[in-house]
Amino acid sequence: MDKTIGCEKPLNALPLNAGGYILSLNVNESIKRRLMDFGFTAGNFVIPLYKSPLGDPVAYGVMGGIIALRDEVAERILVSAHKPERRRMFL
Amino acid sequence: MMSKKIILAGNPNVGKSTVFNALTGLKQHTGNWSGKTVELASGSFSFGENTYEIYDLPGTYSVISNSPEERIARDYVCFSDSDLTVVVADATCLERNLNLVLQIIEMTDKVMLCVNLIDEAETNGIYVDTEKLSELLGIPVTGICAKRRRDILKLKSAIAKASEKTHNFAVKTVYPSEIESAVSEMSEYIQGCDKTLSAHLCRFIAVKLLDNRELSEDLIHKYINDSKSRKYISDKAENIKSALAETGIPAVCIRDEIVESIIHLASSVSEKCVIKNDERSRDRSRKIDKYLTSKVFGIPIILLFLGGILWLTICGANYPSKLLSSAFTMFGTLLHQWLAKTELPPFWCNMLIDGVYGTTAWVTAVMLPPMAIFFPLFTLLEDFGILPRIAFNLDRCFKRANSCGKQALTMCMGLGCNAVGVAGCRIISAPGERFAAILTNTFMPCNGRFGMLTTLSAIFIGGCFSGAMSSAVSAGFVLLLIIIGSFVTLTLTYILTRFVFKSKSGTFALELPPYRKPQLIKILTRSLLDRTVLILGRAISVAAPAGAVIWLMSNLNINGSSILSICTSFLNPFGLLMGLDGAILLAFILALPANEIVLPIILMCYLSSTQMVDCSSVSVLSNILTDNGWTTLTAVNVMLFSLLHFPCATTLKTIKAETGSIKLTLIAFVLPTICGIFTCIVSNFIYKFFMIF
Repeated sequence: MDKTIGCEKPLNALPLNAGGYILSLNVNESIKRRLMDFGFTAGNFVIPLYKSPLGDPVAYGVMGGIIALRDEVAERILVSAHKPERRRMFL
Repeated sequence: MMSKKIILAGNPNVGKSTVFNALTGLKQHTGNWSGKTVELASGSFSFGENTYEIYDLPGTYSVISNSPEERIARDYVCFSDSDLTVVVADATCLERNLNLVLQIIEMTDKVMLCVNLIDEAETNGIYVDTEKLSELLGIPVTGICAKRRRDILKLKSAIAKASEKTHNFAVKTVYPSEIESAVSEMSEYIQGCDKTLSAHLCRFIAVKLLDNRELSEDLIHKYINDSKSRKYISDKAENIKSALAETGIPAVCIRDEIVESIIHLASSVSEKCVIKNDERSRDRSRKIDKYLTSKVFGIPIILLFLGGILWLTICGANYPSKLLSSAFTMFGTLLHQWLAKTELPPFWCNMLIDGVYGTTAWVTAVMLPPMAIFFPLFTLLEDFGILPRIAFNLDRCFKRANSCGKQALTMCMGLGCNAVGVAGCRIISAPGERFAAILTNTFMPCNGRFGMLTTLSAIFIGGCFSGAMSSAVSAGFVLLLIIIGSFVTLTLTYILTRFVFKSKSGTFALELPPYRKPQLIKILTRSLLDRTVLILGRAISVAAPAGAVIWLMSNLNINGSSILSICTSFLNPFGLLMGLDGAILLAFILALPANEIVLPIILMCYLSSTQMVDCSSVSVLSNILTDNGWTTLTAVNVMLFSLLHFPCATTLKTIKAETGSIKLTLIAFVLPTICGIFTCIVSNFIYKFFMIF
């Protein structure tokens, strides 16, 4: 399976079984909370596993679990092939 | 001898309720998908010299977000002064579970971790090093399989030990340096206001103050006593936040940074403690999912499962229903003989036996067998983990109707009993969608209506054919009715969510948990006791008085005719308009308490009999109906009206309890009835129209 992705792509553009690291979530506050609770945070690896027979939603593997997201939400999550650096410095 | 207060927290679907039941011996229904338990259950157990009271919090993914369940969980952990919080985690999915664990560790230092489903993990090649985990987290950790008795004992002992002391060495989530300095500074100010507060608590309050949460206000109210100090702390918090904003971290980003730090810590701890032996890890569940969600097999498999359950329910219930019916009739005759020997006047004898007993016996004979089959089968699907996949597969259809896939599940529950379906709508988080699902649930024919639908379909639809075709066609017609019901549900859901509740589509994010081995015996006992007996009990409690009322209406005469026949003639004109008749309409009205008694009341009206007729014989039933003017059209309209009419009293009561609104309950009564009346009138006209040609 081709696992190399170029620069940023929306999550819903990833083919099945090709994963990426989350860069950012472009959604409103309450949806962002929900997504982060499930493990969709910057730096985490997410991989699309299978699609619903009607095409939407898609089940994503993230942080050890499987979460189904609708297309319009997956569209707003940016991913890339390379793990992003943590933006802040730590003591 | 002391009593300790224990809180049970954890992600949804980690077997928390199984742990709770095992610890307390209480029966509580659980299901393998998130959103099932939303009420707080409590129970207790004894160990050694002490009693431990346990409170089962709703399953939550975090305690930082703001949904109602999360607020309840958060408030309990922070403010209820418990002696210990036990977080239950899923060994097969530890990484994400640790997110909640770390959040709770930050809130309280009286925590322990219980890693459940160790057996499932082992089957999947996952090994959790609980000692290393305990070392890294700084709290006691116990690995168990909630189904094993000895593991529960191990857990009780661990709880007893952990509740004796606080844990000062719990791991600290380290935040980015700017935030860390802000937290330390804030923490010092708080400690300065009250030296008795622990360092752990000061740090927690400091983090929450920066986090912008309403929780921080509640915390300050609880722990800082004078208003001058409170103002001081709030001001300092504002200053620090502005300082952070200047260094490039505006207030809205602070929470993101905090959450990300916790998640990264969770990942790194999990990496060190969880060993995945081979790719067997996810293979079994994934393989099943590949078929269940595939383009070709996905939807047919669902239809097969649901159709299979319905078919087994109808066929399987047939013979037992007849047996029960004959047995009850025999017993009824005996009762007559016994009561005849007593001093009781015939009026009372007849009312009690023919009215109360007769109706109750009918309801039981019709309701009990299908429920005893449907609910265990449905619970089996639930426990195995199929239900979230059904929601996943059907979500797109429901999205078009402005709802979500979870409504498919509430509709399935409604096939068993509409009251259960309505209560099940709690799993739908968006309020507009939830109300729409509640109001339309009655369009799924419950077990109580099934009996009449299959009987009438067999007589009037299947009866037009012969042999094997007959049963195939009559089953097909019932299936058609369900499809009509689904279609009406989707249409009305769209209209309600778009125009009445005006809600935007909620975010559909659904967890698909791994498949679990269902515990067959537990399922049988749980579904029989919890659901079947409970619902049957409720039905009997309404059927008995209803039976008395109907008998009285049938036997009390005014000016020579019974009240029953007066009502029947009164309703007749309207009934004819709908392609029905007065007796049928009256029956539906009087059957508000329980749908099962529609047919008995119709028969009582026709036979002008003062007692219940035994109709275990289908041909007798058929003759009585046709003798009273029933045609295929009448039967079709009766079935349509049964599908589309007001919900039964128990369901209405549940709707009121779930929505808290009398207005919505009234709509729930009126809306389906209008649909039914309209459909019947239209069908009547179409038929008469074609008859002219």
